[in-house]
Amino acid sequence: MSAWLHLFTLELAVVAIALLVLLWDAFAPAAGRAVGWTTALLLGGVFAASFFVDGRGTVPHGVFVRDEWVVFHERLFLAAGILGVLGSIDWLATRTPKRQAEYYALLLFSLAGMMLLAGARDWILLVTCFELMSMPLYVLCAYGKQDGPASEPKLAAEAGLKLFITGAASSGLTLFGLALVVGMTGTTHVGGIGANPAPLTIVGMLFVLAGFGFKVGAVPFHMWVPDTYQGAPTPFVAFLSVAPKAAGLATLAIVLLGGWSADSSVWLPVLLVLAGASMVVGNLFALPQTDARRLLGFSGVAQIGYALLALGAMSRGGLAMTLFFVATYVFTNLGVFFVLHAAAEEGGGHSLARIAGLSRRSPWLGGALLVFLLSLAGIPFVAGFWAKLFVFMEAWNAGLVGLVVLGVALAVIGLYYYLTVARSTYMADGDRTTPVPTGFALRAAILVCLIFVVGLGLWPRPLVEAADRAAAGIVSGR
Amino acid sequence: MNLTDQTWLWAIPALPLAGSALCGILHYLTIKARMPKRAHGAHGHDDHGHDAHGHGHAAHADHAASDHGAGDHAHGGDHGHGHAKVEPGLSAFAPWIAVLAMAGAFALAIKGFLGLQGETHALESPAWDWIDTGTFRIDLAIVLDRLSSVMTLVITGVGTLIHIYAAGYMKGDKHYAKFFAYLNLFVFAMLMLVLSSNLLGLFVGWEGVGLCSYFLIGFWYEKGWPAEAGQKAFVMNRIGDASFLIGSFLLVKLFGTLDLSDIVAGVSGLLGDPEKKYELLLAGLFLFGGACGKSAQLPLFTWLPDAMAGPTPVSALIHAATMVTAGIYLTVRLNPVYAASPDLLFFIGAVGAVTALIAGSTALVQRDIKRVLAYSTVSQLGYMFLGLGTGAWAAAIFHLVTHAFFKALLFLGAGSVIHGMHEEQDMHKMGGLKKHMPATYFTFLAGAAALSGLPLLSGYFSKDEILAHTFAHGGAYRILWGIGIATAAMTAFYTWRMVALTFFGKERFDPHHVHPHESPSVMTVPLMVLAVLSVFGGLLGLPPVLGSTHALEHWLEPVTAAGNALLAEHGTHALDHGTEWMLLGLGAVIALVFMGLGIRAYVGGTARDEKVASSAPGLARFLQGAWGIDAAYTAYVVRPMQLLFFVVAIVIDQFTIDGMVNGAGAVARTCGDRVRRMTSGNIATYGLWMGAAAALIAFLFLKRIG
Amino acid sequence: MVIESPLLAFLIVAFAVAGSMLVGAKLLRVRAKHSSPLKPTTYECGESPAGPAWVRFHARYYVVALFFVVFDIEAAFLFPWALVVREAGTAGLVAVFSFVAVLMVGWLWAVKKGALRWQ
Repeated sequence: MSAWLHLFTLELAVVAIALLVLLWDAFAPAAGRAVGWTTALLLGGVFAASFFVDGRGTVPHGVFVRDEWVVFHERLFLAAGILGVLGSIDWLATRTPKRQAEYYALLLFSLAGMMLLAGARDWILLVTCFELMSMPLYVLCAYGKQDGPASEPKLAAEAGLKLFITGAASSGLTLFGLALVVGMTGTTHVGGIGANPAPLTIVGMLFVLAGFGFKVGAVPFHMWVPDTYQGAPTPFVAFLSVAPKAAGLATLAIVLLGGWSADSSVWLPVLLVLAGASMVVGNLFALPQTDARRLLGFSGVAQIGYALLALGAMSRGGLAMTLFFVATYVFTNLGVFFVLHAAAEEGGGHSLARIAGLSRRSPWLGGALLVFLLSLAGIPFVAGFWAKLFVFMEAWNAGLVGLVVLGVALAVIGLYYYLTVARSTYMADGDRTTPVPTGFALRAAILVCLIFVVGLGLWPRPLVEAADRAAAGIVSGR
Repeated sequence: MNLTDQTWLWAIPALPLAGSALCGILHYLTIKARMPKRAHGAHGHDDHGHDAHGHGHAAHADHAASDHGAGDHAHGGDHGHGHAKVEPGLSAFAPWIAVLAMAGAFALAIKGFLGLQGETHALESPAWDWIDTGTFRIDLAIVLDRLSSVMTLVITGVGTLIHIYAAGYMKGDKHYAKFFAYLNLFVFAMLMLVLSSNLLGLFVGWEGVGLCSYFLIGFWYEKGWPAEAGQKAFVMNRIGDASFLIGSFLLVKLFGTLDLSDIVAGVSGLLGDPEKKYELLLAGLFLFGGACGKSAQLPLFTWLPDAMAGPTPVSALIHAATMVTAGIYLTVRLNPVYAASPDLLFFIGAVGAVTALIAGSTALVQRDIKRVLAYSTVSQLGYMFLGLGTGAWAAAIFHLVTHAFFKALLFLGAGSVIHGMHEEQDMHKMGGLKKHMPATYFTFLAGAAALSGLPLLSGYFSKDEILAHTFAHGGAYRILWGIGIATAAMTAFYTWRMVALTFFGKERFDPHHVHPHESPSVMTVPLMVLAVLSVFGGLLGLPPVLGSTHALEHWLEPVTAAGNALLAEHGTHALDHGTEWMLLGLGAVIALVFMGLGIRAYVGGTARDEKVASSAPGLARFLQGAWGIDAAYTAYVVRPMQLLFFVVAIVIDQFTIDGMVNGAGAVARTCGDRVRRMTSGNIATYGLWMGAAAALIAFLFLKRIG
Repeated sequence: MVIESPLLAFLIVAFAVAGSMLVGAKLLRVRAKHSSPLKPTTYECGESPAGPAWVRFHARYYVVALFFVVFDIEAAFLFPWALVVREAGTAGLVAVFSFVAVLMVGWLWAVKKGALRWQ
């Protein structure tokens, strides 16, 4: 076979698992929790294999490059995928026991898309991977359309449709922009824009940027985020809120810092406006929310703002800290949504009032939620502290003084609403006193997130180093 | 001279950290062991042992004092005596571990102190390159210099005593081990704050103490309002922290290093450049903003009285002796930054003096014994900042140390009273306790005497030194001095009012229901040690007129030299002996006179309070609510913000963006119906947004390329 | 006034054309009587439409349509491969058959799930 196929070992393995799951379902359906656990374990195997499969190289014509950057993202996405599967096992096995396989298969296809995306250096491959990542997500979003407590409106179908329409529109924007870019530059290579591009190329790139802005949920392209988070099934939202965003940020980095760094004065102001607006709107709109998932949706918008801020530093350090930030965000946000899922599964609903008494009923669940929220707020001894601090440091070093001051000030508001969520778990709830029932898989997922969040809070060095090596794949030098 | 190979220094913060981890494990094991009982629903009741009962609304809000009794009983109903005490199980070992960790850290602090004699100015551990990626490097060392050794001795010494006390105070609490885990974690963070060689480590400690304070204020979160108070304290602290972070970034930009000693050494080199001098002033201002948050100064002081919702040992350790002094520490640590700008110094002094006055006058009318002490703490911290404002770094640290002694003593004494009175905090329901609780009474007297500045006690020397420095500066500082003297009078008055209401006079409680009793010796022995320290602590810094050298000032000389050198450029302010004697005498007279007035007014009971409340209700309410500052925040900041966000949430979010999700409310009958409505309404809005956003970006782009 | 920007010129022309059409229709249209029962009908010639236009097709049709897409995609890739089958060699052969195999897994799954059962 070709000399470069081994570069795709992990991606092919993920696709193979997806096919296996589908075949299993075709010939021996309704397999209880076995499908989910098998998927999780096989993915774990792929994750472990990523430390031994160390193929590095470039596919002919530079279409795909597998370097430290890709390795970092592969592991990040695999970790998110494993946790996403783990967190869904109990829910799927009880709610839709006969339709589990499609959920896992779709999630795996999306995962394969993300993993490929990180290495894509050609517009066609990039867009294909982007769509491979996105399309299963539309389906998954509406997966539990009849699911949920009787007291709440069934919002999953609506959430799915919203995600689909905005996603399709953003893909349309991206493709239209790319048509202009490729037409003007005459190459499909991402790095083909070069210095002093023609105005039409710039207009094309603006559409590309807008399209990616949708995917990461940056203001003003964020409207789908809270609606989707509120409506879609919570274990899936956990995955949706982290992995595709990390992929979107990776794409932005590839396109802007990798492909178009020669003319940063054109896009940097736009990026910084997106960053500042996301921080402001995300934090301020999160304040009055009463639905936990909606609040976290806006919080996610704000967090993307911080990540974009570090990206705007345009340095290797800044990019490394973007990666560090995103990686800690992955574990933190997965954890938050899993705990909320556990609480809502039994209590019915995600309004803040409905998680009252959680700390008393299940102290460990409440404690875990508090740890995740503190991490989101950027408090010491948990991962989020370093993430925020490093992001601010790099942005400050890059001279983005005003935005850093804005971000630091808004982080105070962030602390307020995160603590409000935490406080609502402390409030008395006379009705229910028994511990919240959680399945083993969900507990395991929460525990893994907790270990990462606390572990990285105490010892961030390995991840910082990995992120730094990865960033060198896009931005060389200092 | 610095010794830079002192690896053992790491053990000072590491011991409490290890203690915290062990206590955390004990907590986990205890909870696990209790699990079977939980299955029968026993955990549904809020049994905190003896402490949970009846803290009432004391710390909830000032106005709650009037309906205090009712609130008490409401809580009593929830957390009554009827429950069996929780078996401590393994958590009984937690205080041993925690106290041992503290005592070990204290022993090491003494070792460090002994090593700092003579020409040795600092002990330093080897730098640990904590993160080093080649492009991104952070290293950290532990530095025990003259200043941090004083802080470390106070933190670990007073901390050890408070840990011992807490072993008795928290006995029977459901989360006994967790309490010590948090307490030790706090000490770790506080030690990181004072021992770090660079701004980053300091910031970790700075935020870390805020976190632990949040945990500990909200320790009894099941009662509801402590969780609220914890959130308020944490967020207000975070406002200060944000200011601190920006200030540190400015410093890093100016000096190109995170290292504290490099920053201190580099200040004088910057002053030639007016632009850099301005940035230095800005950095100092932002850092002072951080200090205001941590040390509860105007305008960020309102969280400290509410923080009294935490258990009393927490109030003593965090909200009197250590965390709230972090701002003082920071200012002294970076003293040349402040010394470079006389205007900034005056500003700091003015903030301190005004805070001292507002808080001192508020303490005059409080009924809750812990709130009196809380406002008193704010007021005394104001004194320290007044001292810093005059450039009297050593005097501020001196007052910090003596204050740690006597205020920790007073808080612990108050805790003992509350404990003995079955969780009563309202002084109007006390009285005549001196015969019931003799050990608490005598130690409390020592603390009160020191706080009110009775001659020859520790508080007398430290406070008068600050006032003398303020007086010596002349000019506008004389106004601050006047405020300081007025506050000193109030301090004496409210302190002895508190003593009289609590210990003197007739018993105002129902002897059939309340049987005041002395606390166990595990609580009274720390009180006695602190009482001795409060009485003799003044020996650390006797004024020159008494024919001795100021030991503490001399000790801190290597740390304050840089700032003092800058101050000397603006001229020195020395007092002649006659004036100094006069000031000392004035301080003594004021303390004695107002002590007498306070006792006379309240020894007979609560009549004076009622008279004030009826003859000048407006003034009483004004003072009760700390000059209405908290209420003003609510009215002019919180409410408008809430209104704004309500508008944001309802109008923008719910109607336009979220219109179809929540607005419809009802569950759609069919999917098709739902989709149709959605596409006709909401998605169109999205399209509008999308177009507008794309247009905006297009505009930005086209503007760039002109 | 000289219009310098072609973009502005384009916008003006676009709005002018669209606006003039609307205004023209408003002015020139033949007014029907409001009372006429024929006015709201679909075909003014009098033919009554058979059923509403917004009929829903049964979900089965969508499944069939998706099946079509599976084979459509397959064909779309097989044709170009067939043109260069010699040059692509063994690697191309394996690649295309892997591709078909993957599609067939999806097809197999769908069939097993009863996607082709009409009832």
